Amino acid sequence: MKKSITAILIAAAMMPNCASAASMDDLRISGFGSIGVGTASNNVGYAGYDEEVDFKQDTLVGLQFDFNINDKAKVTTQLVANGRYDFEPAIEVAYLSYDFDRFTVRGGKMRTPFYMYSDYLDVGYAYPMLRPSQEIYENLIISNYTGVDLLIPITIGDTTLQLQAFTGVSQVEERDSTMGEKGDPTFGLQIDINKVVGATVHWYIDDWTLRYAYAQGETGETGVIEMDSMVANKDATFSSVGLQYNDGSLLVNLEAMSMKLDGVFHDNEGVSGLLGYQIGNFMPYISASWINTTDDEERENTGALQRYERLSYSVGNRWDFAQNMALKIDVTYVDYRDTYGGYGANIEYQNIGGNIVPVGARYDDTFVYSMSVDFVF
Amino acid sequence: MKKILLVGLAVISFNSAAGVVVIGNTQGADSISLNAVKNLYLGKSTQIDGSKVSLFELPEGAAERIAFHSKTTGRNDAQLQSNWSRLVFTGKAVAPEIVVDSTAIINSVKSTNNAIAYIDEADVTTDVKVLLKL
Repeated sequence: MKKSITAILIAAAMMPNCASAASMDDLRISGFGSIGVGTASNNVGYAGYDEEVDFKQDTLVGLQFDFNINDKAKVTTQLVANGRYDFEPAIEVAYLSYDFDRFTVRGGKMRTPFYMYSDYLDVGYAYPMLRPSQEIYENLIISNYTGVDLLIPITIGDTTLQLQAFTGVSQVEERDSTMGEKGDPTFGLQIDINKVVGATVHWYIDDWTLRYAYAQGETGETGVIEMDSMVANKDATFSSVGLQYNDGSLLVNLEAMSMKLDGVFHDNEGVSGLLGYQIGNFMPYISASWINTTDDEERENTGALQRYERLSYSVGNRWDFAQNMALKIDVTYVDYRDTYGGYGANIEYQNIGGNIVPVGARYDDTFVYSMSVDFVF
Repeated sequence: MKKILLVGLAVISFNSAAGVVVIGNTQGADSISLNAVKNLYLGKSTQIDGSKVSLFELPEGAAERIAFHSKTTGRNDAQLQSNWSRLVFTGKAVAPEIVVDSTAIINSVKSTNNAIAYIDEADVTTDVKVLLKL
């Protein structure tokens, strides 16, 4: 299926004389990618890394095809091969957009715009740090949705307001699902998220950007009856606020989020800040992030799993060493604050009276060292 | 290294020239604010008075381009490219069209409604309108 879509894209590109296919003038192909490598001081799995040196976690290549149908309408598709998913190519984005005089309507499969960087997480070249805050962005369990959105720019004096309202359906995909243990029939279970409704607002005031986002959804039934009582028909809400200052030299980023999921699932709140300074083609940065669970009383009998907290610090640098290419290095230290940090691999189990129970955390903290080359073409 | 030197020289020689101006199609608005120019070239806005704007840029390293961005966006070439990557790959804006030189820019602005571009003041002709002196 995926292959045939690619074949169609290529075939369309190859047939400029075909009456209905887009001509080469109407087609634009662009791309992005990252080659990343990293390792961690232990096997907790923070940012996807463990003690082994890993090349797959932050390595991907994406192609974007923009076909102009006419002056107002455009089709955009993104094909991404991500090392994290064993380079299985996937159509991450496929939508039709239509420009009206005062707004744009898009329909199809699009990125979820929950947080400041979430609709371009795959395009490392477009952001300064090696990876956006894990504490905020790893909670982005749904990276895209299928539906419609409305983009409305509003000029207020010298400032611009951009409204984006969206609705559709989504799913926690198999590849991102953390359900079950390996070998279980429920492992990697796909969970639909229905009735997704949300909006984001960006307000650009001189060198400042203010951002607010809200989204809600409801989990669907999984088809595995014993799972459904726990995961089906649960409401989920996300909200986030962001503030950015960027005058070309100084970059300040602040973001805070709150995520609520019905039932025993952890509700979280998190905050993240980054300070960077552009010196020629170098952008050294420091950042700090924090996440905490907020509904611990809903898991009173779960012992070590009841709550978690994390505080991370990063220092890194982006170097634009060549046209359209950047080299980034990053060292991140994360402190699990005497909890398991939200990572299954960090739970210490003990046999108490014949029962295997979680009793605490295996590690107090982790260092992650990583490097990437990000590019666009 | 040589490239840096050349760019340096170009900036110096340019600074002694008249200055860079923002130009538009003769059918369009008579003036534009510095903030509006900045917002357009950073992709923060794509319209003026509700009409979609077509932007033009000179190639990386061009003296007028360096002077223009130092007075407006404050971004270097790599920062601009990174910024446009975000906008292009999220479908929020279309990157400015790169045009080889001021003659080509004048021709493009002349033939495009709602066009905005910049050139050396000395290169301005009656085919375009000066909207803002930087």
